[in-house]
Amino acid sequence: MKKFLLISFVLSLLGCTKLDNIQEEDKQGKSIGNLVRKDLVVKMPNYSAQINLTKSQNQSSLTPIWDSAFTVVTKSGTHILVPLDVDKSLRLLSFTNSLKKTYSNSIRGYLAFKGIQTKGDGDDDPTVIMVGDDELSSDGMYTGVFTYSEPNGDVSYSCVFENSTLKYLIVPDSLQGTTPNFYKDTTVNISLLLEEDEWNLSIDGGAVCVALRPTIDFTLNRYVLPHTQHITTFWSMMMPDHLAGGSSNEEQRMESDITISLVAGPGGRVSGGGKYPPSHTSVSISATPDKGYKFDKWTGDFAGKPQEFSIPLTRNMSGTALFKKLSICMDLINGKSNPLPIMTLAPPSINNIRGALWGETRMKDGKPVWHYGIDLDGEIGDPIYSMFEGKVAFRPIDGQPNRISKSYPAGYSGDMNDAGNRIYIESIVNGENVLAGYFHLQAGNPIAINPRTGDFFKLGDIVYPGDIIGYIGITGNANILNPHLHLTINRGNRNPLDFLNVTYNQNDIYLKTPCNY
Amino acid sequence: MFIKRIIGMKISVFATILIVTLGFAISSYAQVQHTSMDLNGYIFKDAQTRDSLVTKFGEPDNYRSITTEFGKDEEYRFGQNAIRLTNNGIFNCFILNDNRFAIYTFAINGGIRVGDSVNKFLQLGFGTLQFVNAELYNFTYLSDFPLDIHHVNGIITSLQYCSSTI
Repeated sequence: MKKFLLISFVLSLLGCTKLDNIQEEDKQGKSIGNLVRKDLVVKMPNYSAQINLTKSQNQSSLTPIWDSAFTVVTKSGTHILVPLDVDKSLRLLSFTNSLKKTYSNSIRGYLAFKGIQTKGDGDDDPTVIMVGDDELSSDGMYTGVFTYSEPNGDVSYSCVFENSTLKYLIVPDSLQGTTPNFYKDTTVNISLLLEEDEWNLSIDGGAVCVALRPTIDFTLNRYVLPHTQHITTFWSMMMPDHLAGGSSNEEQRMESDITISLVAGPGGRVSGGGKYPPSHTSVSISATPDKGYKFDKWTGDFAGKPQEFSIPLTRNMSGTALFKKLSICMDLINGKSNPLPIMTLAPPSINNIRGALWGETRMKDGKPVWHYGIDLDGEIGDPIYSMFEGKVAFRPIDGQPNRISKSYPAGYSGDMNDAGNRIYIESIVNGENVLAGYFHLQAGNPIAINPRTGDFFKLGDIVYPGDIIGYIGITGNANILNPHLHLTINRGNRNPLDFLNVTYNQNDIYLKTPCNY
Repeated sequence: MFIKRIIGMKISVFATILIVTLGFAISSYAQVQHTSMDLNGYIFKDAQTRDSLVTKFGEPDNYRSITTEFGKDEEYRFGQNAIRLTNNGIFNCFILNDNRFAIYTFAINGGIRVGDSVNKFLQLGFGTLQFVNAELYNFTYLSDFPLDIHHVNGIITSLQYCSSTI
């Protein structure tokens, strides 16, 4: 162990030396262009840089290739910012991760990878901000700022580009410290780029700002700049403490409490964090999304873990749970849209899946009975979205309580229709008048707030597609065993499937949408 | 002699056909009755009126109606029991909390009512009794609309049924 630490120390010195050499070049302006940022900025235009990563457990080798990069050291690992050289005809060729997902486009302009806060790019793709030609100067250069925030929203980073070159990185004052602790121990969402077993970033030009942080499974070994033959070996300070410490973790566990630090990104909650005495051997950790969100993934030490898991308490660990805001899948050009992000049928019984559909799909006393809508599965309180632009038709019914064993509470004298609390939206869809009824809304607060008036949606209000108009409930003839949205179109005279952006496969309760939900 | 034998055969064949036909007819009749849940011998088919309900079940103790975009919704209360109509007279629900009314009177002698044993449903010889919880069974027979059977220690305390197009 002592030998190992000694070697680490020597390597650390080597690493410092190598990096210092590069910093010297920086200060002298050699091959640094106009990219300047303190002592840690390195730019090697028109050259390839190779970064070799080693997975700490099985020693698999990873070799993403970039044009150039500079590093920022943090207590929890290494951040690498990669400003690529810019020319006037830039194009992102492809991005492939271990799941063999390939992101590619041929949009000219400048690109910035912004981590994993995806918006329709797919679960494993980074968000890509594309700067259109109209944002470029006459000579094709880009000056502007890309800003991204940590999942918890309290820290933002900005990549400032000037004339298409990453000029500098802005971090909040609170995070700046003395070199090399440029950042404090922060979890940047981009770190997930390193969670995959292998990945490759292949870029043919582009202004790209990528921040990476090795996770628990990885440690950054070498940073190779082939054109200068600089080989920067990262020293132990760059590694997360737990990796640098090696087998001493167990000893640490024997003596001290272990802290599990959890952070919830916007749209959810986490549980299981805290300080645990040595008597605790494991902890259950879970992430719970709020209504309208779904769990996305863990970052940090828990990267790759499912929504709920147990983990042995061997050392201090931290992680952030990220959540995705759900949205509906719309194809308004073709007059199709969905009222819920996840479209699942809610049949009256598992023996009759078709019973959730519109038409003569139900049986009563052995005879077919018409069902004037489609029943979509959900949970009480799930948001319901307007499918189309339109107006609120009729006064929304919002006073129905939940039935208690098919009866209304004593003294209740209001609306008692099976539809329960409900709202109608009147729209014109491809020239056709469409009256969409959303039934069985929750008791209490069934109708959503109109974001434009600050009041509950009411008769005559304008509604836009994607507006949350109400919440799923069990009023009317829905019940606690089967909360659902009953969607009816034109008073039951049209099949809602004609207007939904889904594909229905017989005997399957899951309706497939063209979107990635 | 031969002629008598022929006549005798004809009579026996005729009797056989008659018996078989009658058997089928009775069986079919019974099946028709089984498939429809009745309330005090009344099967809700077409739109009801207040008169038709009063004629069958008597004057309600309490009545209320409310008009919606679907038409008129009504509730008739008979003691602790209720019958609800929707959409201008279409049967919606009945809720039986005492033994005033019985169901399945065509299928089992005396029908089934509050205070009977849940086992009486097994005596029907058709349908499925499904355990929901310690106090509730669902009974279904060729239907997506279950009958709720509330009970305490196997004795029925409430029978509740709704059918709907929503």
